[in-house]
Amino acid sequence: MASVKVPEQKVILCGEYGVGKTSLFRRFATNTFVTSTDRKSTLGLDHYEKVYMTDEHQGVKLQLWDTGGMERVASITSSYYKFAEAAILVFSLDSPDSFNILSQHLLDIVTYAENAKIFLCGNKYDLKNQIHVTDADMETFCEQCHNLISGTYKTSCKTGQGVEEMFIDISKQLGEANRSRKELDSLNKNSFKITPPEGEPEDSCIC
Amino acid sequence: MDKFRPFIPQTTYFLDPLQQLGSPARTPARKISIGIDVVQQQQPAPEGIDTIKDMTGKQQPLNLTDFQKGENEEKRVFGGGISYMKEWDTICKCTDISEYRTWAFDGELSACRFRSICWRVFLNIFPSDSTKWLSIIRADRERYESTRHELMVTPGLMSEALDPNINNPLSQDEDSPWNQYFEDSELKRLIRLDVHRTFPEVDFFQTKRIQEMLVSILFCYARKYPKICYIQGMHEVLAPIAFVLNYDRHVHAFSEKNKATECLLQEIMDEAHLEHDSYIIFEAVMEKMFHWYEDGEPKGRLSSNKFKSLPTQPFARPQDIGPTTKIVQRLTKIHDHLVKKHEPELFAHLNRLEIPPQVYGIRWVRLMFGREFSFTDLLMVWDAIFADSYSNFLLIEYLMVAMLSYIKDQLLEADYTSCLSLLMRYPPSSDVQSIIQTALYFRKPDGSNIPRKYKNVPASLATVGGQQNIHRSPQTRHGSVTRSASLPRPSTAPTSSTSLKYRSPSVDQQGRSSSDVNRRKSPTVSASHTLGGMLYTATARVSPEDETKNLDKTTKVVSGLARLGEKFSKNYRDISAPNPELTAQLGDVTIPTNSFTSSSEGEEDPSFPEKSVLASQRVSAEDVLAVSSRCGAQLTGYHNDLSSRLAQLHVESDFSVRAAMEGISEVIDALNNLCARHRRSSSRRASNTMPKSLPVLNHPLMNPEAGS
Repeated sequence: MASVKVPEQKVILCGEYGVGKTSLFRRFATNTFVTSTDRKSTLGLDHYEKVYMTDEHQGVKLQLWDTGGMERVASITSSYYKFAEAAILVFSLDSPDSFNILSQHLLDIVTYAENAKIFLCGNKYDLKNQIHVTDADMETFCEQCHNLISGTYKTSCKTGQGVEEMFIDISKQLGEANRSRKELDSLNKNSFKITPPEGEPEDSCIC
Repeated sequence: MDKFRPFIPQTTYFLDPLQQLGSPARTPARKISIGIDVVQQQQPAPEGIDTIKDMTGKQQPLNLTDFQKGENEEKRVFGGGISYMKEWDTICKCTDISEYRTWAFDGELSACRFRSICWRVFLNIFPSDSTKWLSIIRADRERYESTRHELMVTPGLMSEALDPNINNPLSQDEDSPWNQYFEDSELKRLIRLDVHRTFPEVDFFQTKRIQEMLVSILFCYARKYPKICYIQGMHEVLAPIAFVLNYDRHVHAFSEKNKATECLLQEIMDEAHLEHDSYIIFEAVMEKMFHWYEDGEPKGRLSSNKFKSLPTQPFARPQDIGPTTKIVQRLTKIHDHLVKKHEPELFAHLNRLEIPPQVYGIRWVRLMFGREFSFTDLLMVWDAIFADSYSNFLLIEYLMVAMLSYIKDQLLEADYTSCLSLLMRYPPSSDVQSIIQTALYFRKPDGSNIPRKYKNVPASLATVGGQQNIHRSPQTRHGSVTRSASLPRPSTAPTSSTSLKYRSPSVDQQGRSSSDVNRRKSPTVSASHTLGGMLYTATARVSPEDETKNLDKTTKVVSGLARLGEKFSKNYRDISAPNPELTAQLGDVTIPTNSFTSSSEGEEDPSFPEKSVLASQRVSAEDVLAVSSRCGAQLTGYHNDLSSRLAQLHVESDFSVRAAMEGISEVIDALNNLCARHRRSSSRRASNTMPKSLPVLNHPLMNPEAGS
């Protein structure tokens, strides 16, 4: 049965300002990239939806939310994090600072969006000779997080490299999680189902 | 620069001062040198206006030879070919701040070449007396100069005799000035990140000089007000200010080529003090804005306390749970009070979709809608906000509601995603003047400033609750009834014939469809029934907030009115209640029976106690009409008296007064409409048979005094 309703999955972007969250968002939304002279600081929130087909019948609607790196302080947090199914921790590969601070973002995520799957995304992969965050660093980080991280990616919004792949992978993972949860639900439902006795219908008595 | 010059109304002959000479101007304007000073020219400066009001309010006739009168009926104070110096005179001589405000609210300032000065007047930096400006601006500039000098220091350069062990960059000592220095450079780095991303499409902000200037200003502000510090968003509050100041200077420099301008003007427009002036205005704006930047949370990271995010109450909305901060509280307050009051439908819709106001509102208010409008429109919005500064920019809250109201139809049809998109990416081609006027109307619905949009009830509105908008949600019905309470009602008789149809929801509530009512053939039945329906509507609609209480109150209005009608029909002459106690006084009078008729069979509404009485008797349609037109006329008089009295007393009317006033005007509308309709239909009938005067006008009940 082809799914009529595509499940919506809220995905949020987290990370310091200037790491390219909005660029990722823009790649996701319109597959465009604007040059540095045309960028504005993100203020407030933005959001965009897109359907990814995880297989022939099943699609996942990713609802990507973007916010400014400094908005953390600005207290939209609870509504931003709430009901997030996934969070992408974005850092800039050329900036160790933006990487080291991720643990604090992680803390926010596990606090406000307990059930969210967490992905790690190193952006600005195109700056080949300025990469200061190594794969080993990323692995160490994942280990330190007790394997809370469901996937790591390296992207470049400038070239578009790895961006689409990342979102496809995320949608797959979310789709699977969704399916297994559904199965679990139906299992639960069946095991606790109380079937009414097959007798006369209840509303037979209209006086 | 070229892309972003202040808005120039297309309808005027305003000549853009930045426009290159020789560029095609509209024909009559061709003769004038381009918008600059023409004082020295011998020929009289052609004016794009009929008159200019000078400070005494006297009207000066102006030369109109170069212009066709018919095209220039609108009064213009700025732009429109008025010379630079004349504009300056107008600004200087105007001592009445309320006149400045009128300019701002009407969008007049968009053509003004002294906007930065008007802003300073609004923000209380300048008094309205222009003779004091010079000393004030000098003092302010000096103040900033010293602040800047104090804060922008490099410790090594300080001559203070500090112990070199402490005063060196590597010192771990807490007292080392270098600590501050490093903190400062971190702060500057942070600010610079945003400044570099400020209005990338405007060249003005891309120059190194301006960027460094913005950084210094923001830095000085952050240091001077450490509690507020720097928060993202401030840079986009500062940027338009600096732009406007710079623009005005630019225009000044251009006009100066022709003639040395006044020394005061020259000093104000001093190029070297752009930074100082920007800071002064920015500081004044932030004084009113800072509470939108306030953060209840401790600076830095979120508290990791997990329990904080647990809902404190069942069925809590997203904005009610989790850590709330002041700005969220304030936005929630706007949502819960203003949006609910003025746009109840939208309020319900957004609540149902669980879109809390902070999702879109934080950016809206923090930037004063900087990302929601185009740059030129934005400046007009700011004109209005600043002009309203005595109320701490309260207009922002109303603008927010007005903006929601403006895209309401789209929002109501949208699902969660499209709703968010609309709110986060506000439709760009909005009619900014209409939004401002709506906001002003929401702020003070006194009838004089009815926004254009609402003057005629749009067709879609007229049929809400009827058949057309079937896509709307079930709440629509209730919403549309209450919404009409927020609609302005002109105190004079409305000419619109749609209002009967538009009131149909309430008739629906009584179990009939509007078409049913309209189809009835007998004028008596039709008229009286709709009258009953309308009176009922009046009771139902004034009460969006406290239903029972206000229903009770408005029921009283209705019963009072019914009794008033009774009085007329009995030729009572002393209707002695031109005040809010109208209903109360009349309520005390015991009146045997009611002459109103109503075919309200089967209406079982407890809030309409007159029902049984109304149904008990029948009179002719003419009787009802005479009574109603008489009542309408009387009530109109009372209503006008009341509103003028209230205005005299400067009373900020509370809800009950407003409800009562609206109830009254509602009834007036209903009565007048009824008359108008009947008159039309009877005149149609009359013309078919034989010409005769309208029966109503000669009816004895129309003029009780004459009758006795």
